[in-house]
Amino acid sequence: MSLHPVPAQIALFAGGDLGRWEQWRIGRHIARCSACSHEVEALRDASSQLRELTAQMPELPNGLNWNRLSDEMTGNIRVGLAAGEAIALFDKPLRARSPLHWPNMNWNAALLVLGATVIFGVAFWTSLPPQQAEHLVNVFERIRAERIGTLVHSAPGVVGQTAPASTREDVILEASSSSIQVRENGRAMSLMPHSDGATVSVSMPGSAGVSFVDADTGQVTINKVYYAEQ
Amino acid sequence: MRSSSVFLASALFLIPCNAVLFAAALPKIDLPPDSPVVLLSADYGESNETARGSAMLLDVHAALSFRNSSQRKIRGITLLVTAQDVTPGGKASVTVPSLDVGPEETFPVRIDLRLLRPLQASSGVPVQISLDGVLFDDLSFYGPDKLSSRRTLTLSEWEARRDRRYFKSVLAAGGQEKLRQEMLESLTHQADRPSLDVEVVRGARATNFEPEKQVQFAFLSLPDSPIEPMGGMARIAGNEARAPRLEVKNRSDRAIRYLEVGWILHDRSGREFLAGSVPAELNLAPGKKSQILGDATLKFPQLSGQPLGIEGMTGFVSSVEFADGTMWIPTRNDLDAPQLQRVVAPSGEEQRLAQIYRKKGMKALVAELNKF
Repeated sequence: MSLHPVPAQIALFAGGDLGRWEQWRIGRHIARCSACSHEVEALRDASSQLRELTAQMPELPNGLNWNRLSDEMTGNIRVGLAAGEAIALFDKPLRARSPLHWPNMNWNAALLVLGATVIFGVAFWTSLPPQQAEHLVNVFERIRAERIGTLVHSAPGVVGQTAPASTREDVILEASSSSIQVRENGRAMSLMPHSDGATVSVSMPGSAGVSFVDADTGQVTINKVYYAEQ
Repeated sequence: MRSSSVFLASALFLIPCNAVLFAAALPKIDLPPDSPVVLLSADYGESNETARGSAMLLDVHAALSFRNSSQRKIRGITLLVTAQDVTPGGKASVTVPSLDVGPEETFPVRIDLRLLRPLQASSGVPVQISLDGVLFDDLSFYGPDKLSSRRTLTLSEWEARRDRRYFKSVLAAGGQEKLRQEMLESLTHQADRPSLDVEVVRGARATNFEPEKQVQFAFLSLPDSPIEPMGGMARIAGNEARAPRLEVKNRSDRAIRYLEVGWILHDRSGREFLAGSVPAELNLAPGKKSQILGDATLKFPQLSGQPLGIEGMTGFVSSVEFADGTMWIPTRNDLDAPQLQRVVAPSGEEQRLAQIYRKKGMKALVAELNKF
């Protein structure tokens, strides 16, 4: 461990005045750090000597309660420590922060919020109509695909140029033996072959087609969809 | 009693309103005044419009009937379908080649169209159908030719003439039994070809997990081809292929203005399929070389229900148009090469003839061949 607890923390640890979590955390450091361990020993020695001395002392002055005085001093030290940690959060860069300086988190509260979010998410998802759920899945899939696509292109050792950034304006042509479609921003136009056994073809600059013999008319028919600038 | 009367009145009011709305959603057919074809009737049969989430789905099933009002035989027609407020980036066409329609004769064109558009789309006519071109039997052409219909129809006519000539020669040399064998082989060939779904995405964008690699083309040699492929490559990532680059040389004695190279892909398990074609408009003088570049991405979700991983590519010259308007297409012998035989579909005309044989028998097929 590279960073030592501040003297005030060591003092509170020696007196057993820290909270359970802090007591455990500082204790782990002290168990491994001989310097801090010696300091704790010294403080405990001083404390026991003080107790012996106070026991030998005559009655305290009227109105002076030793226990109350001790509690007040401990409280002041705690306030000082908390204020120091709060200021340190703004002063120090994140990477310099030690695990020992993590802000106190209420883990129970965090788990509660997380659980509530999961329950809300499941309830929201199951209450969605299938078409909207499908649309949402498509949106997530698109985001995932675009992210992965960017990563693939920027990976070392990959041949080729960086692809242009994807845009929402992509026109997509789809061809299958059951339909051909031109699609853009959720709007679509499809042509369906009126026959089984259609032959699909695509042309690189931007057309997709399907050729078939019409079941009713017996005529060869070629349906095509195009990008607009063709 | 009173509330049910109000409900009934509302329903009676709404039904005609819906009918009017749907009538407005039907296509508008627009033919030029000097068009060689006249629209006789338009039957929209089971067309309908339904709400789907926040969008409207319009299904148009149109059976159109045209009359040849010219003095020449019509060999083919292309109709342009536009839906501006549905797909600003795209349009569609319906082409019927292999026609044999004399003056004053009628012929049908069937269009099965589906539109998905937002509810707030403009209330005007969503689809417009217009004439892009008509090809006559002397290979003359009429029309604005916005979609290069002249080339598509002429190419189909050349293929149709080649295949009719071939089947006539089979009939003359081997009789009906030999022609029957050819038809059965053709039907088997059509059924055995792998079915393939393809997506074409504008721009060169890979979205695959697998790293991209450059793959060299191998080329099939077609002895009579006026174009000699010199080399080429494309970028491959998993089931995506993009940015093909080809170098070709004109080895004929005539200038070439258009060519298409067919693109066969091989996957990891040794399957082959025709992915598409790489066309190029150019001006290639005899003996000169040129580069052809493609910028779209082809995606193949699956082949015969199985995922696809592309491993290799083969190219072949599938058509050439000379500067004088004549065309070159592979011969029947070229298409009999095993690799082409496996992946290239029979021409539309061969499929039409095979369907005549299948549905009407040998007598009808022979009669059809003798018409030309």
